[in-house]
Amino acid sequence: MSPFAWEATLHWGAVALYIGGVTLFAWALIFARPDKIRLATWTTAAGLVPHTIGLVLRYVHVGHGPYMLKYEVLSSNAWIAIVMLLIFVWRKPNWGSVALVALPVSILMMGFGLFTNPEARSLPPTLRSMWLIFHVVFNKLAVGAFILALGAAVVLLRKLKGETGRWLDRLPGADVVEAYTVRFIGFGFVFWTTTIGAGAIWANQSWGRYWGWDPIESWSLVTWLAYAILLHARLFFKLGARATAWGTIACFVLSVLTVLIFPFVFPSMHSAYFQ
Amino acid sequence: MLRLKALALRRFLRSPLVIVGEIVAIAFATGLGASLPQAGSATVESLARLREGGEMQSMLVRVFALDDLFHSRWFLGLTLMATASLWIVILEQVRRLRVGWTQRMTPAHFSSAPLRAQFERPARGGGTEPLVKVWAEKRFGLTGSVMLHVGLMLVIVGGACRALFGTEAVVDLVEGETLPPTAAAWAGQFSGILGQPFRLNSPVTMNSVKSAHYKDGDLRELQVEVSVEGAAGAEKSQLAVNHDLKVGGGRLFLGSDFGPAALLEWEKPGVETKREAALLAGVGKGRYEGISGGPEGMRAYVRARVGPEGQHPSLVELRVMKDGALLFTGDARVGQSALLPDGGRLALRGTPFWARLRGSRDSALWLAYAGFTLIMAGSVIIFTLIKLDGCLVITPLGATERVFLAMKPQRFAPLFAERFQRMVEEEGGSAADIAPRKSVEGAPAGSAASVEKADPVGGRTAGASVFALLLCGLVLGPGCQPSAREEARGLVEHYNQVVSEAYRRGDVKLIDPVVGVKEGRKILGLIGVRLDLGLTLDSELLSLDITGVEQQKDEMRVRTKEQWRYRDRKIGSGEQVGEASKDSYEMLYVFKKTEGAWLVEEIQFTSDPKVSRKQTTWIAERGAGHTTANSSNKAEVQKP
Repeated sequence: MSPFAWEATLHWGAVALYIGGVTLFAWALIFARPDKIRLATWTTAAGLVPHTIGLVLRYVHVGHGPYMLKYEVLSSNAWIAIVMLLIFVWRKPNWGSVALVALPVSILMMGFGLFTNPEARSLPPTLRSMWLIFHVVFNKLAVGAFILALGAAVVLLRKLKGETGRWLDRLPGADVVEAYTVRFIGFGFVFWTTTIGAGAIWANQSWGRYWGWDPIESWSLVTWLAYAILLHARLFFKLGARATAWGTIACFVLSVLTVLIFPFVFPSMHSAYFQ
Repeated sequence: MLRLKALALRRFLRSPLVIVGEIVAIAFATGLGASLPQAGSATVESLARLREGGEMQSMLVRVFALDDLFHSRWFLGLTLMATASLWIVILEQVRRLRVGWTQRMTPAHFSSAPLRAQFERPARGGGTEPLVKVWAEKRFGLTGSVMLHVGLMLVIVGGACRALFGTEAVVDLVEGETLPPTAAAWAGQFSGILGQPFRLNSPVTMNSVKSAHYKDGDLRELQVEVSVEGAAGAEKSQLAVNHDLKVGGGRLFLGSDFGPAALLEWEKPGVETKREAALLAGVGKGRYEGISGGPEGMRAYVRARVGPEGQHPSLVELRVMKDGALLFTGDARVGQSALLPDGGRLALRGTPFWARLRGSRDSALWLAYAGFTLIMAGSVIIFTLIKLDGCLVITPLGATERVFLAMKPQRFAPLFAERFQRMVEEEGGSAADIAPRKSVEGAPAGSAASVEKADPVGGRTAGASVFALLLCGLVLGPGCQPSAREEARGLVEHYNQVVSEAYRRGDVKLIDPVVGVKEGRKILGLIGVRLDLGLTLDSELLSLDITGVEQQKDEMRVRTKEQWRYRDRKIGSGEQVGEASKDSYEMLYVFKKTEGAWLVEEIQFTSDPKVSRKQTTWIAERGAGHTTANSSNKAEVQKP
């Protein structure tokens, strides 16, 4: 079997386990079987094993981290998001419902990545920098945190809609869910800030300038500002929970556009990645 | 009076609506600038399209400087206004921090704490005096917001200093070349409004360029050795991609722009010998290409390969052209010459490497770095260190005592509810003793209603809609893209330009970036046939109409009507062979997206081509019978 065949097999194995995990989460929550939450968590965690091996194999095969291709970037983003989800659900088992949003989003990312061109591309010299690692890792952590914020926002909207059910009732009150949503945004904001900072320092090392209004540089600033608008609007105008939830969703869409879509649309020095 | 005006201005700049408005405006402007072609980075064509895209568009571009938005006066004004607001906020936050840090809390401060409980329990101690305990945790958390905003201010000040006094310069140096300590020695200068042109304090010589490549030829590592002249003589230093070098006068950076330089000598009887270094730039997979201008409008197209160990090329591919005619095509080794018409010669004297150096001087860099550090530290503190004030008052009541316990987290109060309940239970109370958390309008917390009522405007849906609209505006406003038809026209035009040039130069490698395998093979054959006959094809696109575009996910089918003028020319002299032809076609281009690029997979005639000349040149050359090009021998119709 070729290295990619191994990677693909492991990735699809992980996807199967994640689907099993999300099914178990749904079963546990819809049919009010809290005892199944642990099983769902373990099944999802089991998916991390082939997923991690797949990513390590990829690293060995191409000789660099998951920075270049859609397949690598999306798979590693999903990995980070699932690890963050599991840590959260492990500490707060009542919050299993967040998995019903975060897991499908992660599975979709992986699935989309698996259908893209996996042909390895070499790392250009400018990308061979320690700052790339900080830049990329914190970006992935930010995406992971924003996915969790998205999950919490969706749960919050359902609660605000007045929906009830055993699994919704098991969750804390809407004010707590809202606080968690904002806290996830906060973590994402911290990581996104670090992504921009690391990128700026790296740009200065490579080109002698830390900011050049490159389209993706600028869009990452727009995303940062959008989250800043949301946080300031909450602070100044006591934005309601529903507005906060919708704002979180809108900001998530913007962050996804910045990371995954705009590099294709606007000519940028970031276009070399995620091909 | 003046003081009153200043106060009013300060109140205006500090108002929440103005602050949020400023952030929204900056975000929108940034999105717009990121989406539209900008002077200095976009291509001339895209800038021209933006500037001349209709009366209204041209007017908007002119008035709002949309083609150079980040240097426009209104963007500068907006940034200044936001900076003024930021300054006022910082002053206020520092004052609040001082007060908050030194504030001595008393139980009275906790009367409206979001988490509080009061209950009675059997007396545990024997005292008669009330016990009052007030404490504060993670007080450092108060500094987060101040740090973040001060950091932002430093970055803005650092950026402004750079824009005013900073300077950048760029130069391409060939191995062995010395860069004199003058500003004029640099090929390009980009100085701030008040900045001095960049120059080094002493001469710098580029001794050698070392490169390492991947198996497929792509660049992996790049390093140059330079000698910097100093009082104690020349000092050797290394400079590499991502590893700058501090020298007198500024810092030097090495990008990945590098390649072999073809040292060419143009000799022509009666004309002074012209020596030039043609800098060959990487086009991928270890291939490097460049152009050298010779006397009397001659141009040499040069191509070379760099080996995996970064060896200097020993052989270069040369094509000499003049007025669209190919005068010479062949390979040349160092020391060899190509013979040109009229007794001229083009000699290759060497293939040293060249590399692009950037110089930069920014005395405010430390401000920006300090700003980044503070922004990161501040945002971490805001969301991880949450200041918490607590209060415990135990009042003896004889056999019992009254316990008042309260907690005031700086933010995220609902997240501390569990901990507070545990504290209450440890003190002998129960969950029922905890006062319901109140939202702004007094509904018990924990219910959906409480959160809903916390919306003071009563229009959370409206708020959400406005927010969503703002974000949609951020994304959609600036992100408008040219139509599919315009994109199709651009693709067809680019394809035709590239393929015409490939026919003209007899250089099939030029078509690699625009064609897929199938169409590539066809063109390879057509160019090859001509080269065998000592001919090239000179073509000119007279008109192009896009008549239809169908786009699916990774496939675009473009229908066109085209008019071309063709003529075949003899290699060496450029003399026209046979008659010229003016042809009309109706075509279908099938583009496929491969690794992010649209490649022509197939081209078909959708109707019989109208060809004015009666016989194809090579048939005429061979003296074969007359054959009119028709749809049955489409491949031989000279459609580039």
